[in-house]
Amino acid sequence: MPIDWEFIISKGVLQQIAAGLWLTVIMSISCCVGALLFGALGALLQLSTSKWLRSIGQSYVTIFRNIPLLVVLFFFYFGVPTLAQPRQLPILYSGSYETNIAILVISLVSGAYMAEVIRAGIEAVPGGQIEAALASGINKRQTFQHIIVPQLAPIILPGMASEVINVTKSTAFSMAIGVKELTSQGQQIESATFKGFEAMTAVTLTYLVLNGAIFAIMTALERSFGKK
Amino acid sequence: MPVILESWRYFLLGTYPQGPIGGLILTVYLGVYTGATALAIGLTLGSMSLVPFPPIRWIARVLVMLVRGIPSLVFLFWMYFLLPRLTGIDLSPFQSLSIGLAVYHGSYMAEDIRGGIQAVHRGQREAGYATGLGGLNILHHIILPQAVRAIIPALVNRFVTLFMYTSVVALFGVLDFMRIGVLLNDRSLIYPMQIFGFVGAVYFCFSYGLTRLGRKLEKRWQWAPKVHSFDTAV
Repeated sequence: MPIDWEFIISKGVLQQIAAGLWLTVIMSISCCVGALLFGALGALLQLSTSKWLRSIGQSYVTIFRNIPLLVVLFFFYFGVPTLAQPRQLPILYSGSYETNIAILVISLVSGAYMAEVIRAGIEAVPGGQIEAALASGINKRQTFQHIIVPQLAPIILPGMASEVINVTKSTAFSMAIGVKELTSQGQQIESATFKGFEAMTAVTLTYLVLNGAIFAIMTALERSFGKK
Repeated sequence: MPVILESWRYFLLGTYPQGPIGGLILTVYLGVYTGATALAIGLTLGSMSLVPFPPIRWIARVLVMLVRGIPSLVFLFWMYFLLPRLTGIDLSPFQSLSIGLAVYHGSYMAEDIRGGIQAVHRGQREAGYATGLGGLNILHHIILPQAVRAIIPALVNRFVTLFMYTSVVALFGVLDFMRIGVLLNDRSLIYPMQIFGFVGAVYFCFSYGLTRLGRKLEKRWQWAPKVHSFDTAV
């Protein structure tokens, strides 16, 4: 089947792809920030000295790593409105409800994976350093802030790079609840013009370029931190 | 909960006596079938990317990179809508989706397998040659035990992910466990949390069970020497 490149670079198609890409990028960035927050929280909970906090952290990670994203997505998408009125949750309902839900859910799920990356990173700092810091008279918080955190970046960056790409790819699932991101824009082009082959080629190429760019950025970051 | 209890048959078997088998049985079947196929594809692509002949290595690497650069949903669209149109081969939705899932997750496994084998220090192989062992003996007794131990955790995670991601076929109308939850929710409308909570809990039991099985497997391979500095590439 010959591919109709002129259709792909026609203005209407490019506009739709660009709109989808924009939403995918915005969602990816929000989800990454959210996943980093949830992940840091999950990792700290898991490493806490309190038994209760530790089990909370562990259950969070175990639950969200073992339930399909799609199920969590539908659970929140259909479940939240049965629990609360829109005026009780103005943040979630401002703008597009399904986009907000998708960002929340992908952040939660990716946060569980991120928590493992961060926890492994913190645990990779040699115990002798922590003992040395405590022995030299600085307290636990200072040890964490000045000894552990500065060493984290080079350790967790490789794991984080694959997580960031996973987040970008996960945003495609949000089309199941009606978010107009890149994949769903491709579907729309297909249903409007019956040119599914061209539409999917455009979408696929856009994803490849996007993920290639993320990969390049993360590799550059790794390199800049590795020099120290 | 009555809504779930009432339709237990539907959840377990789909529309079985009237239609093709579905529900949880289909999800488990899909998981096992796709998992086995994915492992076969992973082993093939993984070995291909280690062959000393560059063109074969490039083919495997480019294929793996292409597949890993796109969301599984987009890849499944290719398999489901476009492959039959491009090649003229007529596949059932179940077939094309399971092959799609297997290829997608198989290329992740290929990357884990390649990483694990390459993580075995080359000095080990050289030492094997120096002590007079042949190529096959080195592979069997020196490289593989260490590589397998290094690969198992990543591979187990991949199997769990694969099992969870079989739920994607629901979006293509295959009547698996997830799809039944969606249909039931569309019909009853007022119990979304109960229905998806139940669906999630069942998926959780299976994936968590798989994770625990994986831990046991890891323990059984602890006799093999540990490879240091193993991380899977992006």
